[in-house]
Amino acid sequence: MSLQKLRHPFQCLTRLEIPGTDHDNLLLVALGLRVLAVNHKTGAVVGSWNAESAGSKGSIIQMNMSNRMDYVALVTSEDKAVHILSTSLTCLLLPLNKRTLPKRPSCIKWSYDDKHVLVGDKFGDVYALPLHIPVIPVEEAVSLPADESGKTAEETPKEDLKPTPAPDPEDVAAEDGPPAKRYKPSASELTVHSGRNRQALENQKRTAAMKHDQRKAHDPTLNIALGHVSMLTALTCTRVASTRATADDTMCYSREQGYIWSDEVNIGEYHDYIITADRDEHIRISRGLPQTHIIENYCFGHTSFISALCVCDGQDSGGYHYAGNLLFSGGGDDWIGVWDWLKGTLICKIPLDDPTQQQPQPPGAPDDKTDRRTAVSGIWQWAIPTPTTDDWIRIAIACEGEPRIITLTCTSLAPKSASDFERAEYKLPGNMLDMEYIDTETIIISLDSMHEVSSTETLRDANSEKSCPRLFLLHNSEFLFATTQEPDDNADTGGVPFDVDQKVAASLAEKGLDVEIEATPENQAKMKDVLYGIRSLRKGFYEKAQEPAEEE
Amino acid sequence: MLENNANPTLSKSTGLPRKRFYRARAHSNPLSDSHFPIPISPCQVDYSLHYPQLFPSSDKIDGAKKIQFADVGCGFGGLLISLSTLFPETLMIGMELRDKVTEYVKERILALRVANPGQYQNISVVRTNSMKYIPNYFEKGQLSKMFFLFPDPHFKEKNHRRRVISTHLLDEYAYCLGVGGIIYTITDVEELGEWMKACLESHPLFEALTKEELEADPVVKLLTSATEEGQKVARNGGQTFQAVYRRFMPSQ
Ligand SMILES: C[S@@+](CC[C@H](N)C(=O)[O-])C[C@H]1O[C@@H](n2cnc3c(N)ncnc32)[C@H](O)[C@@H]1O
Repeated sequence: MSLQKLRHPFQCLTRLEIPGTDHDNLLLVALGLRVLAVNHKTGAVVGSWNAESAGSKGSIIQMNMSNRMDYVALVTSEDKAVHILSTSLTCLLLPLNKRTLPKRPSCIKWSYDDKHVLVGDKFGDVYALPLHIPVIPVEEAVSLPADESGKTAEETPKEDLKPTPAPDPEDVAAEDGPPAKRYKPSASELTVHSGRNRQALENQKRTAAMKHDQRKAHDPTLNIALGHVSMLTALTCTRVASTRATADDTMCYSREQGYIWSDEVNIGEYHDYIITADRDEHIRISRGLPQTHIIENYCFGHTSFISALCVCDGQDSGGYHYAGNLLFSGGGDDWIGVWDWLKGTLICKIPLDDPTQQQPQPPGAPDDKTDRRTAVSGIWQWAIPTPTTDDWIRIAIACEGEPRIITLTCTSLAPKSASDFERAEYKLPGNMLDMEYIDTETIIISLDSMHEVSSTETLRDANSEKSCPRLFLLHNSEFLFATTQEPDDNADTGGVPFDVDQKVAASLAEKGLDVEIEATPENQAKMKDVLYGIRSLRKGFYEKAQEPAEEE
Repeated sequence: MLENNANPTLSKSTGLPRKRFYRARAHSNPLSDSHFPIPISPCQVDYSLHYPQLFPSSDKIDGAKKIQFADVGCGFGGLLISLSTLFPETLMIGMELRDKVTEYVKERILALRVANPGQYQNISVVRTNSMKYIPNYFEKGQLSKMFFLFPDPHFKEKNHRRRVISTHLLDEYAYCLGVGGIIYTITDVEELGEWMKACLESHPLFEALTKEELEADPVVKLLTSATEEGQKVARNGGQTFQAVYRRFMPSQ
């Protein structure tokens, strides 16, 4: 009996709009190692690039479009690479460059001016990769020598063992701190040290020359902008104009003076910020490049990891951003935080689940050993308010391995409490993976068509797999004002939500680009790793599999 | 009766805790997950637990004094005890990762408070991982002095990210220190000394104290003499390497 084959879901998606061209209705979707440009109206596939052609392995696990929509940055899982592709009309999905990082990137975001790609990794470092690789003298561009560290499992920092069980070959390359100097052994004979340290000193002396070479071999374009001590789990950045009016329209924010009267600031001044979050409950506000060493604030309140950040964006008629002081955060806590991030204050907590409704334990298969507690996998601002639309703040939320989308709508640009937010929830035919808004009325969602609803492990059977679209359109009117809605009954008979999926599937099939995977245990584990890594960020989750915390 | 059941962990002659009952492992991995309570934010640090005589209730009083000195990796607490009488008006705290060592310092402070009524009320200790949680304890610009005396060297290059002084941790220390605040570091490991100095020297928010300033600062003299580790190094005739830097605000 041959094994069942399942369609590969689109693990990430992003909108690409080149107004005034026939590229004004595009989506980029990741399908395994491939990124595809598809027209979400016609379903036509207009571009495709395979990361395998650039030597990458694994799957695309992160995708971020530049603010001007002229480049897309991708992360591939197994080779820890960041690829930058052009998305311009004439060079759609042409690769610009590829950079390999020492650690697996966990989040990626373009800086506000699109000059750098910011990449957070599982050691907590944030790299600022310049869009174009600067030219470096030939003698500097040595490739990294093979790993010689002779590392043993017991010396491996525990973080290494968590998200990816395989040891990292470039472990020894992790370098930060002072600029590299000529190598010198750390301990002298006068130093008070144990036998084991003496052994280490011996080793150091022996490998001194080799190590010096390794330091030199680092990619000099990998600048570290800032660093946390634990895994970077979310990253965003924003720009604040000094002249941006706050809610009452009379006060402005100035980095030096805080909130001041609007006639006291220079028109046209702005400041960039980077907002980072980690597995240790911290949200940190740092200045943007090149002043990332200045920490402005922390947003304290979470008691679990933070896996999603979304800073509000909106433009007034003068092109200035407003409501930009609002930050939404979520992760392992059962609420979404709404912050005035510039001040570091928590405005309110919004419960993820409707407090008036008893949440039934999600069904899920009995063999599913996953931690079932809610973990937010994404927060999006949906429909950026502009002068031509209403002023509402619309937020959409996805939770890992859950077949629902939660929306929050706020009719004020200066919310004060959770009651200013209208919460709605829409049940989906599959677990929500990613989303993008298309216009103020429509969002498009990527669904996990492979796994059973509410499960991150159990695969669907052939029938139920066909009934779950990979791309799902949702219209404003359908759910915005409802508190909880079931999908439209005749949706699977060709209603709008399923239309786009069928069209895209047909053009993929026609071009031979669709991906099916065999339901082997290895593939199953791999897909879980690609699609679902957030719940496992919870502390204590891997406890039993780990060594004792202390070491000699 | 209590007096007859004398606590064996306290010395009969001095009433101070005896170190051998608080023996601990030599090192812990500061990058591991922690399993002790962490204040959610600096305003949740309960001063009445740490300084009961100065803060009789845990209610927050606006404008109340805040902790100004932090001894990071305080070990057995020798520095805090010297500083306590030198700066009797200043609140200070030791931060220590090892549980047993923290317990020892707690007992030591309690015993000193009993033996010297009215004194040692301004020092305390907390078990925490300073590398991960320093901003949970101190607000922006709250501290005026931070001490890193004889920190664990983490000799192996691949463990350098466990070091308590690094370029990126200095960003956090610069956040906690007020402008003009001073960071004191000392070690007997030459390479670590160079490392700490290089990190501080290249950081845009720190500047070295001048020779005159170092000589005038009474605290500098304590670096080699006040802590248990410093005394051990001195007994063995070891060399020490110090770096003392001021948090400053570059004009921009
Ligand atoms: C070599 S001892 C020096 C102790 C003391 N400063 C002295 O001079 O005697 C270093 C101390 O730092 C503590 N330590 C190491 N990493 C730490 C961390 N991340 N947070 C708090 N304490 C830490 C160790 O447990 C140890 O007690």
